[in-house]
Amino acid sequence: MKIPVEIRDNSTGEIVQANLFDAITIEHFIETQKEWRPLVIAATRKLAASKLAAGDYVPAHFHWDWTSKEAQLKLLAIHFYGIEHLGVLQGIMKVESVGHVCRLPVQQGKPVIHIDYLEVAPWNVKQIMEALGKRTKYGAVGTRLIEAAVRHSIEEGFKGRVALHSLSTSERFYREVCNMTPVGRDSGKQNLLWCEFTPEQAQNFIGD
Amino acid sequence: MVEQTKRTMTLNLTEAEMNVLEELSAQKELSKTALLRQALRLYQLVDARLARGEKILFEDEKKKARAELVFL
Amino acid sequence: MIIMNRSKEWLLKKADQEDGCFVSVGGFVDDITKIESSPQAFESTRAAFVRLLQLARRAKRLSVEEFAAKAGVELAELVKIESNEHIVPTPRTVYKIAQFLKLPEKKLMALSGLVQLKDSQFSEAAVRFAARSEPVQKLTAQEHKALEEFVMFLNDR
Repeated sequence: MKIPVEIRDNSTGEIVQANLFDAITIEHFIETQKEWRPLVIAATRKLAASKLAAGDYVPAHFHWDWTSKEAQLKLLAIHFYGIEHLGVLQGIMKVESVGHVCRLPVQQGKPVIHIDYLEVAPWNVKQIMEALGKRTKYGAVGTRLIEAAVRHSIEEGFKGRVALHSLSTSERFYREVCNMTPVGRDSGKQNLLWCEFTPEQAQNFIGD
Repeated sequence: MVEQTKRTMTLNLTEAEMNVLEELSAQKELSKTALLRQALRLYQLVDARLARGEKILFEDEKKKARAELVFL
Repeated sequence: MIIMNRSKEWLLKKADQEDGCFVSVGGFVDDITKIESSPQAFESTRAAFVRLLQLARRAKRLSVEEFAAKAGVELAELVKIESNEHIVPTPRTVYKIAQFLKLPEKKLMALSGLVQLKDSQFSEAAVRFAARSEPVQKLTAQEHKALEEFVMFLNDR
């Protein structure tokens, strides 16, 4: 099943038609390993060689544990989304509806959609492509996946509540661009920052 | 999530069960249907992990105690 | 049914806001030195090597200690290999594991990242196998099947 979703073609600045789909298969995991990983590694090496601070620039999604994911495709509590354009995967996301609850005091204990994994294809990431001396291909892919998570939350009856553990390199995006509320660092998860959407913040983000 | 065909069922609950359902629905700000769907997701997830030989533990950080949830 | 925001203005504004940001959840940065020390081509297959080891050991119902003793490999190294996909095993250990599991040594050497095998089918089979397996206690029927198929594949070529 596919839903039309627009993204920006960064070479022209024009909007192009992509698709949001949820029929993720093992082939997509393989694609992220075959097509994405080599670029991430090449860019990481160049960045390391140019001695930039690792925390600031090194792609932080390098070691997502993609193994053992096939069994998760069958669980109701877990949902994967992908964005594809012209048959090429542009972004992938995993959300969970069970296992986490809201931590923000105003909605403490309420059910929440947790974004467990989100990755945008490396050719859409500025830091990676600049390291390789190239331009990014498409824009707003990450935003579209977060929008999908919010709408998934609404469909589940969670009113748009979404949470995630932010990598340090992504904190600025979630806090300042998405306007999620940072709740605190999770000592059980490499001290990553837990960020949460209230229903109002979620509605503001998706622009409804 | 993307559109899926839905099927309907009638659910008979005891007074006590319905009370719990209503209380939890109110607490979690979920419709009764949404709450029961969450319960199903949780059940499947737990079942899958138990089938792999894992255990479920409850941890009380303050008391530094752990107790295993036993499924019969 | 989900309907995404179709507004052109909204999208272009969001694309501008996202530009230059690092949008990601779930992985985390490892030490740069670890990235540099492991050759690019071997990362995916090494995950499969670790999974194969774990599943094969569990299929034989052996603990890590028992496996190390029977295979004639160092326990400490075996523990490190099973718990960390970035560890490069020693050639002797891979050789001993291949002998014990009755698998072709060259294939296992390639899987563990000790030698490079320029075979995209091999890498793909390894990636597929790793995605299908779980590193926990009991083998499911699916894992048995995945393990059998992968072992057949390794022995076949």
